[in-house]
Amino acid sequence: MSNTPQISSDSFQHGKFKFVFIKDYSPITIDLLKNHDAVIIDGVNQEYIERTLFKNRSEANRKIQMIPVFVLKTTEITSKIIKALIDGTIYSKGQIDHVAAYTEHILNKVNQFHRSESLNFENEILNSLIKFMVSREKKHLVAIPDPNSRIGYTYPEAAFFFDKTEAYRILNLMEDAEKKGLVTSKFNELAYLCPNCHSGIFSYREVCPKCSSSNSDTEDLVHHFPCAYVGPMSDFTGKKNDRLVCPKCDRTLNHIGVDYDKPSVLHHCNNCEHDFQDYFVKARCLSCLQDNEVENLIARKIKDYELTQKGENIAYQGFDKEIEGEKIDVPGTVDFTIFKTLLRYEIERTKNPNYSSQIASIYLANSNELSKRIGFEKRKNILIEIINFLNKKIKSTDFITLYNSTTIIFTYNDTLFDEAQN
Amino acid sequence: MFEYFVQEFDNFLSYISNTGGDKLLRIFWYFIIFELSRYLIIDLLALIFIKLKRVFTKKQRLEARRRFLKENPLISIIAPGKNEGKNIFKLANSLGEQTYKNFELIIVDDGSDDNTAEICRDLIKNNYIDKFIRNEARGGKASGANTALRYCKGKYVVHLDADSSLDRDAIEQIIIPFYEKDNVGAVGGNILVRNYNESLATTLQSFEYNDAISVGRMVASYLGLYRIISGAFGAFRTDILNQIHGWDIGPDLDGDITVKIRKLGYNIEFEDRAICQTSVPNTFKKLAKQRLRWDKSLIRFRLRKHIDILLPTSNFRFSNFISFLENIFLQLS
Repeated sequence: MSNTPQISSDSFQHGKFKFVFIKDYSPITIDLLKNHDAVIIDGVNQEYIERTLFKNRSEANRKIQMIPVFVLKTTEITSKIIKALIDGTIYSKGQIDHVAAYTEHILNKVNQFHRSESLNFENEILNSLIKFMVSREKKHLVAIPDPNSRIGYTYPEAAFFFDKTEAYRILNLMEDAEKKGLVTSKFNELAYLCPNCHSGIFSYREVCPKCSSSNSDTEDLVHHFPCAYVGPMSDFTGKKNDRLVCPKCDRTLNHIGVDYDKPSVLHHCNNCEHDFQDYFVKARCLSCLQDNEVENLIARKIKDYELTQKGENIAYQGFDKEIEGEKIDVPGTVDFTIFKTLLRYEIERTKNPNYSSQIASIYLANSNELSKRIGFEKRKNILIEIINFLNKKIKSTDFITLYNSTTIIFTYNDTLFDEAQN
Repeated sequence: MFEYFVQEFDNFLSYISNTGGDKLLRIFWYFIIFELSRYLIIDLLALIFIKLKRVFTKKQRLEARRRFLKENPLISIIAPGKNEGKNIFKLANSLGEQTYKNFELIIVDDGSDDNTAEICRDLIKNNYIDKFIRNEARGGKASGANTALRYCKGKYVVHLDADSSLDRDAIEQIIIPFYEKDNVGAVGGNILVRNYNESLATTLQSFEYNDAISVGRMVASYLGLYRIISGAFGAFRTDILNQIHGWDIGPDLDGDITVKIRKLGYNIEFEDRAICQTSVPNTFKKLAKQRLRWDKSLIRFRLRKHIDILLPTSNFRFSNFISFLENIFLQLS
């Protein structure tokens, strides 16, 4: 979190909403965004706008994630990603009225959303994505060709949940969503990915079949009819100026098709000296540098998705057990439903004036950032480590539960506040 | 019917006994002086000497084999052909069974218009073939062989027909003579008929191959008169082949290249223990076509191109002289 004063952003009230104006390259903090209802980016630099949008949308804080963002348009916005992520454009500050109504519309929708969270990391992202789409009344998730994406395509509304190196995970996520009936799909394109790192950025080369080097030369093969000598063009050149002379019978080659022919070509590898006629085609992944045979590349379908009614309902009703799927199961924790029951009993006990219990929570504020940096698995391991640490610190009569994939709640039963704080 | 044959045979015997030996000699003098003496008596004697010699030179043979295996030279096996796709896999498979492993297999597709190219590209991907060269336009057997020769890396070149298959030790056996004897330029392998029981034509040809090739060439080689290394299975020193720039076009290119090597002063050997099997024409019509093709312009070509063998030049060798004469006169009879 930055403590730099907001020297280049304006904050102003319009009706019941508080807007913040952000200019190019000004620092953005969570507090700044938390205290406002909508953001207007006064930016010329599209890279800055995109970065800001990504930062907003990937925040763990729901309010910031869903916050309406508008752009003060002074130049043409060409980026399809920005166009997909912003909620509108204005041409001057005087046009705030135009966006205020839409801001209200979005925020009303967000307030109707179910507050439940998922324990499954992937579902958590799906939850955020669906809520974003529903709040903007977007039904379609379209794959856009993007040279900056590792797989060559991006879904702007979902791209910010994943690190660039894990762009392929969005494909897994959406396939999963389709299996659960939350979306339907339509074929867009086929992308080929590296079997090692799932990147789709390759250098395709024609290489020597023996040593896979692309350092080769090609020559025509020449067949001299009178003496049946066959050899590369270089065997025939060089002896008499520009003339072609047969090294076997010393005759000059005059007329193609009459005294000589070129029946084929041959390639010569300068690396291993192998002679061959057919190249192998290989694709060198430019991300991990693995040299792959094209047959080994993983073909993944890039699809466009449409939200189903079942998918929309997730935003309002949350995940049910059928959709929830796999949960994190950590020894030493209780299910949240059981925790609530135990908590009720504990609350009853605390009605006794001589009895005191405390409750606390740990919230991973930068969970999305963490996921991007270290991946979902390692983030899960961090949660498990924290829980194991807590288990050593609390009594056996205390309870721990995972409220969602970013929040741990635990109790100090029969413990005074000062003692718990220590 | 049977009585008729018995009667005729009886008549024949009567005729022989009535005619007498001197009259028979006057009628069949050419057969008795040249063919009987050359192809029966000399052959028989030569065979006996060859077998005896093998017993006494066994150690020499083993030593030659030891030197060959120790050196472990690369052998380039070349098989040019047109529309031989169906045979290439069988050939590559039999080569995979060879006791000698250090070889490269080069296939030249001489303008095939079937699926030979697809088959060979698949075989090269699966490492059955080391090099595959496809010439879009057909150039003929000589140019196909010369294409392969141009890209050989081996010390020896073994030329095979695409429809050949080899005994497991055939490659080893055909190369050993280069180490066993001095000044060997090329070695011819033994050709046996694979489809001998397919028809009367193939059965008769199998007898002919056994006699004319197996025995006949063994004797010719022993006498220093061996004149045709069969294109179906022959081994050459690569440096010598490059010296003479490979094969020339024309009929009898197998015989032609053998004569060219002989004229350089090298010896040509036949190795009956290096066995290759090939399919022969299964009808007399096809057989006649094949033999016509083999003999076409033979004498005219030989006489025109290699008449210098008969002349007393600086490269004159008596064995070449006799071999050439024998080929011209006895081939006709």
